[in-house]
Amino acid sequence: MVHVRRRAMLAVGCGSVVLVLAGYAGASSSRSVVDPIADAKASIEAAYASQMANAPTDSRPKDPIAARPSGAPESAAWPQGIFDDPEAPFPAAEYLISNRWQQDIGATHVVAYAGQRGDGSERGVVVILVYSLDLSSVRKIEVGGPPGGGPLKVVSARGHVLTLVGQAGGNVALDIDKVVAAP
Amino acid sequence: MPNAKISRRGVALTTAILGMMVALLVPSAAAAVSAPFATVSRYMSTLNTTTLYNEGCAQGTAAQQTFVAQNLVVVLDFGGPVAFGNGVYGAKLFNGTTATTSTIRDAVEWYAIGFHVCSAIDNSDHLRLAIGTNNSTGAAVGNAAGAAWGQMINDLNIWASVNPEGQTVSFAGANDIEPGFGDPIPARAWVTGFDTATNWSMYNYGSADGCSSIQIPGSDCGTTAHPTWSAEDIYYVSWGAQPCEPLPEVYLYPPPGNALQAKQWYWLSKYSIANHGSRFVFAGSMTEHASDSTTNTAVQGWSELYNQVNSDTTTAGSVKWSTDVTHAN
Repeated sequence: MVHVRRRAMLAVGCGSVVLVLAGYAGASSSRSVVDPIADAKASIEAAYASQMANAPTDSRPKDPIAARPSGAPESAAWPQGIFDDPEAPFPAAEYLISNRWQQDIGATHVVAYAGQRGDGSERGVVVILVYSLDLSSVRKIEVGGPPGGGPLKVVSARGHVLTLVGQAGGNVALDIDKVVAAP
Repeated sequence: MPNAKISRRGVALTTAILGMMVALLVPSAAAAVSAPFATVSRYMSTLNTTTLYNEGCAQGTAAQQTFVAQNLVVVLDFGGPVAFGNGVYGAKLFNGTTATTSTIRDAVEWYAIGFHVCSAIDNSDHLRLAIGTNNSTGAAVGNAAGAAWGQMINDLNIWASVNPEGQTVSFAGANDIEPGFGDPIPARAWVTGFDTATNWSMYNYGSADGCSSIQIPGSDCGTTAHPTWSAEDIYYVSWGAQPCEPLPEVYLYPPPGNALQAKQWYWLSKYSIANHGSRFVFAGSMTEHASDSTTNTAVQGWSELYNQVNSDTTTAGSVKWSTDVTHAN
């Protein structure tokens, strides 16, 4: 069994060398052979390969049940309220976030991010993420702000109804329950 | 199961031999190449060890079920840097809670254990587990936070070097560096701090907001809120600093099919060649289809980047990995 694996690794190794040489030959006509920046990255990869090759072996069979930590997944902590920071799990090219409101609603964790679209239109937007309590599923809902209203920010919440203010100063009310309940 | 093992080795041997033949027959990067197996990266909202173990096991199982030895990357994004005082740093998770680097490190080890136990029985699947942060949290982004993140990666690789999980999993830093998130000086300082603290890799899975997609960029990168980004800044945090490699976002922005982000990164590689004599070697592509189904799938994103960089012999090269990020944990 071990010999079969070693032969496979040798073949992969030979293949890799040939591939590297072929790639080198293909690129050498169009750029300098000396590239200390790329060489530095290659030395890091070599260190990774060495570390993996020298990691200790384990004679025990792999057992996913025995290896699992004790205890079931817990419902994640979910701070409630309005938080004035711009961090959000979206690229800046998609949304620029002003702040957010978080709450548990029924059997879900909800976050409503207020801000603007990142496409340069400065159109206000609220992006709502609805997580299952174990976080294994997430639904994303986008609600556009009024045209010309500019970026939105959550200023208060009464129950699950948010009051948002736009750059132009006008207030907008958003009932999160209705948005989340909509198909 | 025995049949699966034999099949896996047979496929590995056949793949290696075919690879040698193809390499000998095809001298350029123009050969058609299929997208690599795409992994699931995650915006993290929990440090629950059972959850992390299950996520690692799910990824390991998915790799094992391909019946081909896999070389993969997964990014676990723990949010932007946070300073706790007294030199202690950490990150702000996407549920709004904070955690120190030591707490994150302990949780991440369980993902590695899950992957190791559930991946190929012969340890032929390899995972680079990239622990991510971003540059969106203002004053906390800087040299000391980068150094703390680098030290966490050191600690994780030390752990991997003395445990069986190290046969299948190794650790790297990662950062979703986006011009739209903040100014360049703190982001550069973070990278310098990381570089000072560790010799392991750091993948920039961010964007090149504002950079030209039609010519070599200069000082034209950045956004309205953060306009001072230059091509040199993006170069430094993606390739110029020793640990850095680009694993950029290749999402989809209107009009469909314009490959805007792939083109931006192609031109940044041209910038790097013109100013530093070194083309970017892309570690992989990041997509967000699981978070937003209107955007590129993993295959679409990877193909956009691969095709763009290989449309020019001066930038041509491999794009090793493909990963798609989800909000789910």
